[in-house]
Amino acid sequence: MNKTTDRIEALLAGLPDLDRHRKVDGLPPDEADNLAQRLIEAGSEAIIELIDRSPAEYDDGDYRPRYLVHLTASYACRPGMEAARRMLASALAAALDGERSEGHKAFIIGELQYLGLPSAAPALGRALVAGSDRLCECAARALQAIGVGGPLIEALDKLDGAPRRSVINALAPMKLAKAAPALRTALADPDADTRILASHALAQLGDRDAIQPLLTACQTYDGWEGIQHARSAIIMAERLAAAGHVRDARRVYTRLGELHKHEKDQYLRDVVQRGIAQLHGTS
Amino acid sequence: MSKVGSNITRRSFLKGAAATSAAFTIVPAHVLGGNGRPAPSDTFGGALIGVGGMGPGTYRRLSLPNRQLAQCDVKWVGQVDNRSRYTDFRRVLERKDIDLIAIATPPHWHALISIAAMQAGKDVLCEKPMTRFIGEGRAVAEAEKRYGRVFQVGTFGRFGQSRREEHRKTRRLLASGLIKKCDTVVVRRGGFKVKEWSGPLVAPSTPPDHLDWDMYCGPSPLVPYQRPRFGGMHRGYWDYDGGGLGDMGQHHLDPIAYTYALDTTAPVEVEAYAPPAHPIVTGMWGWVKLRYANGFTLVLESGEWPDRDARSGEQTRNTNFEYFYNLLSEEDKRKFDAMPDEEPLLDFASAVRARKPAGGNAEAAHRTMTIMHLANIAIRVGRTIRFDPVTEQVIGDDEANRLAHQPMRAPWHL
Repeated sequence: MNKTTDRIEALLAGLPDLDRHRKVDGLPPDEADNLAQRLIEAGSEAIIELIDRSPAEYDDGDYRPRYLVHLTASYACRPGMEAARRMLASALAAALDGERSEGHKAFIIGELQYLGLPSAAPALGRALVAGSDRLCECAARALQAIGVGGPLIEALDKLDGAPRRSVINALAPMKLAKAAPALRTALADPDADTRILASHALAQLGDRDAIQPLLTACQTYDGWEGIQHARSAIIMAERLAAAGHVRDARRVYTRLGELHKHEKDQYLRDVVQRGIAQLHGTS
Repeated sequence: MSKVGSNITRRSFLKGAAATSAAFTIVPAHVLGGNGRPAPSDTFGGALIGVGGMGPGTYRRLSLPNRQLAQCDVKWVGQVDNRSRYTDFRRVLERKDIDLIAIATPPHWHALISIAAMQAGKDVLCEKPMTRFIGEGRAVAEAEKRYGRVFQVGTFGRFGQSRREEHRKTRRLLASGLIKKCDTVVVRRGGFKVKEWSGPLVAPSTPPDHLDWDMYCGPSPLVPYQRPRFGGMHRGYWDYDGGGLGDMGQHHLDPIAYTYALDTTAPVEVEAYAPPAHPIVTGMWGWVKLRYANGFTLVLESGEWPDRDARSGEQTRNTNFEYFYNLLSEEDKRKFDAMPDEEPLLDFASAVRARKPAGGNAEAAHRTMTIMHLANIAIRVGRTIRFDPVTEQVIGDDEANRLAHQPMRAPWHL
């Protein structure tokens, strides 16, 4: 065994075994801090070796390597630990680019999400388009959580199916105007879930160029999809009103009311009425 | 399109009845229905989503004359007719003949189905815990308000609490904002099932044929199936719940949140004593101290870690109405004495009929669940966190905020 392996063995020995029900027993916080500090001192090589020693999926064997990496990530996120956090994120990003199983990479992405450093975005962006639905989905969520939209916009036109939906879903709360043209294209996608996600993202943006396509979607689709586009239209109207586009907001509300004449849609017409009444206060 | 005049619904009928209550007085519903049965116009269409475990009991809590038109569960693959039995809740929510939705799925679905149901015009009774993270709670409360629907969470401790004048007065006083500073401590010890509902780490296996595993995972990551993730022990996985604290906390704290008006705000500082959390399964914790802006302190003690005798060092004190009242200036006492009593809490059925918020409405339930979420976040990040009750953001702590507002797996989103 080399020196790094010796150090890892010593660190893992400091973690308790699972109990008889395979549940995690408590490790006193000061002992955990000590282990984390020692792993940081052992450096990136030790972190990568720990990942490679862990089972392909979380729970299939020795739980300790991944637990040690995670408790170290938590330790490195404390104020004053910025250098350790950068080292850890850099090691994980490098490990993500290497040859590893999907389960290992999903774990790495989860830890990068926890650490939250934008420096991990390029590696996460590569994971978006690496050809695995699962990893694309994990990476999209991580980029959303970290708040870096560039790799998501870049990937959007290269993807279809579930990965494309993952990317659109991650973009929605980020409200990036640069994403609007691609989202408007997605609003005409053959896949219903993609259209729903696109209308939601465009509504969050308050994108005026999407008003007519969104109203057309409201008119075209009924059932679940129709309910979701109606929701998007309400959010769109609220965003437009907040941005001072009162005429546009009124247009959306009015059309939404016209499209929902069923006796059981009274609640939606009430939403429209309240929205228009509020516009009177802002116009 | 229906002609005007045939467009009268049960709901618009009830709404109109508020203005013309004399009509109800003259012709009661039971007479219209005959033989003591509710009139057809007064019978609701209901559906239960999440049929195992608490499902049937939750449905009974609707407590309104209803016809159960649909049941839905992801474990019914190959056993559905898509007329009364479904695996996909979206098909249930599309139905215009369904007015009431009871939700008893695992918690990671509670917020999304509640919101979707209200978007579809339904009133909702949802099992506790209402949410899995703070951002979900705000979204449910916004949907309740935006769509004007009734929402009640499936815990009812506050109703009993509200029947005692002492508690109502205490709540009124603390909700008034007149108490700027107090030295109150409430300790809630035990009953959180910490070890019992922490997740086991077991090997992946093949999901049963009758289970739609992708739909079960829903907004949570699609991970390889492991048996304990489905059917009770799901509580021990962060993907679906918050352990015993997240799952039982809403029961334990609903009465406390009512009495001390903790459901009108949120803690500003949270400190936890716990071992480092595992990223996948929930685990042990010793105690959590949650401090409010006015000095009120809520302490949760597990009574399980590091051992059964472990204590936070805090004792319950200064909790009765007289204590708070005596903190007031003479002028503030006069202001308080002039305040009217709150309206009685409405149960779900009364709220639906009155078209008013239920006692356990989404805003109150969200604020109560925020206590558990903040406690779990402090446990998971391993440090004291500070929280802004207005913006609902953790202050200066991005890692903690990422746990308060979590991304979802497509196509699911708030």
